[in-house]
Amino acid sequence: MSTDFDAIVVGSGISGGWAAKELCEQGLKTLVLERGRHLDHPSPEYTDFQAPWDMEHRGMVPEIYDEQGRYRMLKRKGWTYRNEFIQFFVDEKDYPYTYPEDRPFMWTRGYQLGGRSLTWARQSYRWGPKDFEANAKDGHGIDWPIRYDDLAPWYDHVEAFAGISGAQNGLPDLPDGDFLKPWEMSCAEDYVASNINRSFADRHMIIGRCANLSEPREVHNALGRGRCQSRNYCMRGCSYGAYFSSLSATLPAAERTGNLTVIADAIVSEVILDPETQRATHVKVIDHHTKQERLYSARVIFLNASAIASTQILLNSSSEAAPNGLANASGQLGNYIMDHFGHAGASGTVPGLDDRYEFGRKPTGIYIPNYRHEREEGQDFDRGFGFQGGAQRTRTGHAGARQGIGKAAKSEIGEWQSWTFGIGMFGEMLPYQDNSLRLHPNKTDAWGIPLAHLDCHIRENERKMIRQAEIDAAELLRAGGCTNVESVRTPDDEHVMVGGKTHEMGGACMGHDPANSVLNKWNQTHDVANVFVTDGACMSSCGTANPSLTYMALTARAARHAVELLQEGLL
Amino acid sequence: MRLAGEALAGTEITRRLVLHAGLLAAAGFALSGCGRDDELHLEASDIASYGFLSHAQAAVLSDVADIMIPRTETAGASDTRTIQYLDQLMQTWAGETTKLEVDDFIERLENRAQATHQTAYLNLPDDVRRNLLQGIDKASFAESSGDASGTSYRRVKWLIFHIHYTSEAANPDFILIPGQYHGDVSETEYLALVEENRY
Repeated sequence: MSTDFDAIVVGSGISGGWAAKELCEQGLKTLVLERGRHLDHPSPEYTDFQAPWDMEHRGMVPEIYDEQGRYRMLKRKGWTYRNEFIQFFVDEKDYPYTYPEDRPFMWTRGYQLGGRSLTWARQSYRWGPKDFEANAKDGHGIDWPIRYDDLAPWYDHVEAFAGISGAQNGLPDLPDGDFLKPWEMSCAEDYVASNINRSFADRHMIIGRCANLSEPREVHNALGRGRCQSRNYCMRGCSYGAYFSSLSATLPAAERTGNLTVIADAIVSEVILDPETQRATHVKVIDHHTKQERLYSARVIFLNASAIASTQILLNSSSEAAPNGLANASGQLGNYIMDHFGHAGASGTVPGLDDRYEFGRKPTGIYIPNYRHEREEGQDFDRGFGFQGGAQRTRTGHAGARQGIGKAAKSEIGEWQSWTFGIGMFGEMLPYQDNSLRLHPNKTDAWGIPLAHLDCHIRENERKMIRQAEIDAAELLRAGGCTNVESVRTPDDEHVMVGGKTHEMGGACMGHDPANSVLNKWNQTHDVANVFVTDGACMSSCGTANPSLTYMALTARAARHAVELLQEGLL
Repeated sequence: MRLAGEALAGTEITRRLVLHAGLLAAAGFALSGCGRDDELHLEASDIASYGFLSHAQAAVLSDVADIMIPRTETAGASDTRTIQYLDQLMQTWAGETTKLEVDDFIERLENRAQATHQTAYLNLPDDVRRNLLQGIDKASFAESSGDASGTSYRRVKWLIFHIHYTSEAANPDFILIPGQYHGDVSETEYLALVEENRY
């Protein structure tokens, strides 16, 4: 097999899949390198057709993992610690990273073809104009070198292919797009949303926009993708291809061009620079199984290994010509690590709907976009937060964890409860230069690669947001007509783990100035023109909306630019 | 090990039959005074297949599970083969702590039966066994309960309930593929949709 390609894409997750698709469709012979195992689609590893009684261990993660100290971070994450999809997550015992003992960082990974696109939450929102202007406005971080209008046509482009369900809400801070039919709110969500939307001019509760095919179009059918079956088992893998993933959408699209080569179990350790031309020439790969090193060459290289991993690769690509890592003349590589944060929310009862029910399990909840972009009177923090959540109507669960046995206890099981509503905040963490990723000075992984060392924490601005979000959450639910409203937040003296939302961003931020940023407005490194970074690492701020759709748009835009540069002979 | 020879394979057996098969006698349980005719609904092949639990432990846990989740108009713990599955979990899923808790619960139950009634747990009449477990259940979930017996009881109870309520028989309305979503339906409409889409 040839080791020379037009383009190499490192990583096959959300953004890597997009890079592969766009580059292949533009005629480039493209190699995708995935450090994890190969997966087909549909995969035998999918568990989406298993009923509860079919599941191994009835869905319980083997206790031996506790005894062996495995999957500790995934267990701390909580809701993702399920046996039916644990195969799609990485155990940090096998793939360690480090952090200061008193400031743990949660790095959730998926080492398989498709990466975390198999397990993402599929929430897909355009960032609004204010999100791209925020750094310039309040001076935190590095000014984005692009604005919403630069990205708007690329949002159109990726939405049409990915298939995003959503309503046209007409909100200036959350632009509408090319959406499929929105999911219907439950009656309880509709009730609360109507009340909130009547009560506030600036706060809106809308149905979540998600990458599940509510009504497939021809572009989706052509790839064998089917309509969402309202199972909400997405994280198990979807045999219908009904939610967007690299496996169901972008990689098959790339493959049908005849230009795609995929190599799994290929761990990229570094990008090799030709100091004379200041161009990257090769990517060094270590075979997962044999640990043998190989080199692959290409004219253009896209790093899409994730915010942390792409930055780690660049840091590890040091040479005489680039002693602090590739594309790090600014010294900013590894800085400004961000994530969204939660840690405040509220729940309540929705009255008056005990005779109404929902059928099916829709794959999205509700969304309340950030309404605190501006410092209003009494607001003592910069940026803002949104909320995500939803209503549910459950039945009484079994008495296994409470008092009661026998016929009486059994008869109580399965009784319908009233509708309940819960919302949790998604806060915008400011870009702090010293929230950093570095290579560990002396610890390496099983392949000899220095470990990522993450030293990040939230500051007083985020604490103030958490306190305000608790107040707002309760206020919103009360205005929504809920009763028995209870709010919660993490105490001020408790560590808030960065990475908890699995929205790691930053590390190789975009900016105008090569002196203080790593990437230019095309996601191209300032220092090495044929290296592009289009995953979360490129983000100069983190906004409040889920970032994956923005990664997709940035990637498609950058890929098209790279192709144009190649065609012009500039790369 | 096969129960009383191959002749019993495939036949439904009662707890009394289990007892008389000598499986519990080997563990030192007295056989007289049972006075019960409730059935375990076990296949002989099930009895032979325990890998973690001793047959004596399996008999005790089966009884406990049936008291916790009796057969009513819906399936009980025996119908869903809860203890057989629990035995499998002990071999394939459970960590050392859970294994010790299962053993500990059974031992404490036996000790309590001996201390209060001077006989083995399974020898106690139905109402006494039920009352015994009701008392343990109440004490184990009392706010102040922090003793080890409560811990092992709660663990075993949770496992029994989880296994039973994730079984097919306990989920007659489970719908794997709804195929559609309706956010606002009446009870009549809901039941009709469930009936149409039942797994």
